[in-house]
Amino acid sequence: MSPDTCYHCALPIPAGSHWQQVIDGQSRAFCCPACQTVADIIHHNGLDNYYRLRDKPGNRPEHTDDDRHPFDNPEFQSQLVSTDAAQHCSARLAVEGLHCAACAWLVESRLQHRDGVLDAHVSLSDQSLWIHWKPGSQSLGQLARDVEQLGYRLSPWHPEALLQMQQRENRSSLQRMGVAGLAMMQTGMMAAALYAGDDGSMETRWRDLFRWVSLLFTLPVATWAAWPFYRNALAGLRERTATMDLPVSLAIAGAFLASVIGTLWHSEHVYFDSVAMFTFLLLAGRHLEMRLRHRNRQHSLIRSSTLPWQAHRVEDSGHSTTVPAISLSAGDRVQVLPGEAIPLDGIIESGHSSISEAVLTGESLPQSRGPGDHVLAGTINHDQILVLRATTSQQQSRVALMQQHLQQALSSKPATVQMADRLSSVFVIVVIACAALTAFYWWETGADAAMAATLAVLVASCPCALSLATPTAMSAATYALAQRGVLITRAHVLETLPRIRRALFDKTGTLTHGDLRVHAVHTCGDHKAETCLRIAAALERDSNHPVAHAFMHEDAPLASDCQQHPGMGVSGIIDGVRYRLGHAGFLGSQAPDSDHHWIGLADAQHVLAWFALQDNLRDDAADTINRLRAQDISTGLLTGDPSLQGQRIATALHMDSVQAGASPEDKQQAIRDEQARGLQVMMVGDGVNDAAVLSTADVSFAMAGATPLARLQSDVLLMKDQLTLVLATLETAHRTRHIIRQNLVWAAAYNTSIIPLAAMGWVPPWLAAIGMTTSSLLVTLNAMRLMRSR
Amino acid sequence: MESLYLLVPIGIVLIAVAAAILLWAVRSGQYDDLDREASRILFDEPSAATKNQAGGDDHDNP
Repeated sequence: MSPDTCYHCALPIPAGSHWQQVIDGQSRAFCCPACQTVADIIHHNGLDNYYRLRDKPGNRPEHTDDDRHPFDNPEFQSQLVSTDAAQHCSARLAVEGLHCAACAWLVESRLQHRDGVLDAHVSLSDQSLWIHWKPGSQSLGQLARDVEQLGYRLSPWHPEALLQMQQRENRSSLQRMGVAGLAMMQTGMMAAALYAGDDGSMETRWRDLFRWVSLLFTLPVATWAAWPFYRNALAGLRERTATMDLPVSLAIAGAFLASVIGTLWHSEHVYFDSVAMFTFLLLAGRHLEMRLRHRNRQHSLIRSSTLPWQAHRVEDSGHSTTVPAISLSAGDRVQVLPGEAIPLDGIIESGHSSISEAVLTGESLPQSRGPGDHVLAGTINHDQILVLRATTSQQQSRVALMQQHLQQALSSKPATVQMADRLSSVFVIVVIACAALTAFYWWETGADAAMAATLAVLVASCPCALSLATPTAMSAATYALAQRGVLITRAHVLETLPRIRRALFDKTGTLTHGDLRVHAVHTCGDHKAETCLRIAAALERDSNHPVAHAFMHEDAPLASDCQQHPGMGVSGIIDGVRYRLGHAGFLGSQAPDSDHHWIGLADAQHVLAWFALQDNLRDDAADTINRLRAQDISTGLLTGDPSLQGQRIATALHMDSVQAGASPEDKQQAIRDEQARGLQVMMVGDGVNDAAVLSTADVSFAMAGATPLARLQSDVLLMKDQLTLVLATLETAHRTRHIIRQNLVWAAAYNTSIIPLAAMGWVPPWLAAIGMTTSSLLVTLNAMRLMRSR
Repeated sequence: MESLYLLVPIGIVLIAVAAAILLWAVRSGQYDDLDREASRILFDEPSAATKNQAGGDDHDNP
């Protein structure tokens, strides 16, 4: 870690900062007292391992003044805490900010060090914490405070039905795989003995013993472990489609039944080992696929909970109490403090403030709202205390309904038909016909010969390689991309991406950073631009208004008597002079022009400087657009911003088209028009107003800073704020398509060439089984090449 | 070779026990969080001694 970044959170250390602490025998520097406190707590509790083993920098803790944690309020206690027979309490909380195993260990160790805590367990996969403690010595609020001091945020745990379903699916898959794996090892051992004795050196009674034992081990595999394949095959048949699971089921059930018959009739060969191995390999492949799918879904789910979980209800007496947000209903009066998210839809009763609706609209500048105005849950209150009268409960708020709607849409989205599945319905019919013909032809020679040849055809044609060809390549590519910070949430993405001919981009937050920065400074008096910036930074230091973020400065002086003037600006005293910072109207002056968003700085008499605030282009935007064009993909800008900035950006980046001032409907229409011209369109966006647009595009990308709704709706989530990841995804998709083609060609060539040979009786079933396994192995290894990063 | 009549059944019973343990372990949630277990070995379990000492130290922290 470089010396000028904070040892705990890795943010740059402000000049002149003196926060130091000795850890691991070295003096470490910190950016703020809060980070130092965390490091101190970690160090004093002997938890230094955290710094050695973590993957990512820590969270910057938030400063809290409250003495009493809201979890200790009776309303929360009754919801969160359950008491067991021994009068011990337990509670489950959702944890925000867990990155890696080091985080989980840190939280657990911190709690386990506490007196009265019996057990604490952190689950990384569902980002939750379970605590078990003796109520006398600790309260939940104190324990929660301990964790929050480390920089993690806690909220009540509301298990999603989807997560529970995933847990069941995961357990069932592991159990089936485990049983199949054990059976595979045992039958493999038996098979080694059986093959060795194939030259006739083995007595029949030992051969039969091994066969019966193999049968016993394979029975649960062919019935219970392979059940998902049978179920899917039947479901496919009911809809009159032959899925890949049909030949898989036929191969498993067929080979098993033939082996049972072979055991009973003492025929020449049995294939129990092949059945167990085939089932295990397929189950393992499906399990890896399932884990990737679950993880992607969890990422979007966990991030979707934007709504605050606590709210301040105003009682009839005028006092406010902190209650769980979900226990509020329409008609309740709710107080919202500056900087808080609004917990439910409502109408402002008193107070004027500016409200940032970025969560819903992506618009970065806050809107001014006063009594009588409608405000929506999830938006952020910036300047002043508001009192609302709720019009809905939180579950019925606009954002919550949109989220529910989207989740339903997601779960009902039909699975895309993959190339291998389409191939398979033809393949299945051919295989069954071949097997039937072979049996018929050999029947006159004798039942035993007919059985051997027919089975050889069935085993040789076993579409193991064919059915592994696509999913293994997909899984490997998805995994490789996840390592680089790209999450694929829909199976079709890698198939569709290489066909994309048109790429559309949103402006704010996608091509640009999405937050305001100082673009230009016009000084009007004797002060230097640098001095003016420092004064502005001092005035805005304690504001959480988006405009304030533009004025971050390393060594801002201290301002006293800072006042917020909602919707206007701020004022404060520095070195005895009162300064004002705000819009032209607030300063009683005229801005230089109307092209930019101007903020002025004035003392009592004169305007000292004008700052042009602008949302700057991302550094990698030009590179991304150029390289897309080099791949013969035409680019376009679709923005809701009606100003000239869209045109300017499109010209600067040499984009092929631009549409400014587009409503979400316009954007959707624009994509449909392109699709009507036969082009496959991809869309990169970030706002909720983009959500519908993202679902219309053939492939959609959501930026790292995208709103939860946009993330839920998009096919690809970027976890890092880099536009070039779009290119990386495209490149991986091309390589994946290439590998899948190689795999399919190989598998199809192998199967089609071995089937005639098997039908002629030239391939003994054991050779067919070895051939099948080798072929599958080749396909899998080929797919693994995708996991190597370039 | 007759010993196979004894050894093979013993093998079957052992495998059945192994399978039962596996099924139980999965059902009781021990495999729910696979991301975590890979690195658990790297972290020391807090011992009783550090627990008491840390409990005392904590009061000094702000």
